[in-house]
Amino acid sequence: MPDARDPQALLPLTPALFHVLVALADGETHGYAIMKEVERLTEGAVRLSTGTLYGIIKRLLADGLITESRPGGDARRRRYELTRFGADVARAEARRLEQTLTLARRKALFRT
Amino acid sequence: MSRSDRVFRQLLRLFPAEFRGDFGDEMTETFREHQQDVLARGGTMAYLALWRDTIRGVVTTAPREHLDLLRQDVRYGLRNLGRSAGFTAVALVALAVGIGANTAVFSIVDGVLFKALPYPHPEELLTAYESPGPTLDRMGFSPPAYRRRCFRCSRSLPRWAVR
Repeated sequence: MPDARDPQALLPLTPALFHVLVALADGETHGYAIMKEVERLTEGAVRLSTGTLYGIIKRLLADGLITESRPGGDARRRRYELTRFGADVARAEARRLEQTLTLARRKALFRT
Repeated sequence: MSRSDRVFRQLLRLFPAEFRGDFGDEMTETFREHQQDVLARGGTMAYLALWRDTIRGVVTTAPREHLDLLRQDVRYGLRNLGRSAGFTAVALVALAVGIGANTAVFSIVDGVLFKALPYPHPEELLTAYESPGPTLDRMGFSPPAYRRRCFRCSRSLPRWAVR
C-alpha cells in the first residue's frame, strides 16, 4: 500500500541517517553490514558506532522508513530493508542536497 | 560471554530498559562482530579507537533515547487527559490544591525557621529570662525588673529590645 505521507515532511535528514538509508539502497541487510557499508561509501569519513547505529535504526523503524525481518526468528540477527516511503525520503533528501550544492556552485568561491 | 561483552553490556545499561529489550542482544552481537574485525586487522590503536567511538556513541545516544521515551509518556498522558474531561478537572484541582498547600507551608516555614531576623548580626541574638526559683525556671521580666536590669545589661549587650 503506498504511503500517503509527504517525504518532504521528514527533511532535512541528519547525515548519519541519510548514510544509513543509502547503505540500505541495494537491499536488505543486518546491522554490522550497514556500519561497514557506510564506512565504505564514505571512504572512512563516517564511522557509525553501535549505539549511534541502533538509535538511528529505531528512529527509521518508528517513522516507517525501514522494516525489519528475523530470519530463523533470531532477534540477534535482524535484517533491515528500505520501505517504499524510505526510498522516497532518501531520494528527496538527495535532491535537496543536490539543489543546495547547485546553488553553492554558482558562486565563484566554489568554481575550480 | 567475554570480558569485553560484559563491559559492553554494562554500557548498554545507560539506555532505557525498553531500548535494551528491543536491541540489546543485537547490539552486543554487532559489537562482537565489529570487535573481531578490528582485532583481525590488528592494531592496538584501532582497538582503542573502537572502544572510544563505542563509548562516545552510547553516551551521546542514550540521553536522546531517554528523552524520546519521556516525550512519548507525556504525549500519552496528555492524550489520556484529553479523553476524559472530568478526570482532567479533578487532576488539575488536586494539583492546584497540592501545589498551593505546599507553597503556603513552605512560606511559613521559610519565614519562621529559615530566614534570618531583620537585625544586624542576627546570629548574636539572645533572649533573656528571669529564673525565679526551683519550681519555675523561666519567667519574663516584669516592667520594673526590666527597667532595673536594662541599665546593667546594656553594658555587656550592645542593643536591647522588649517584646
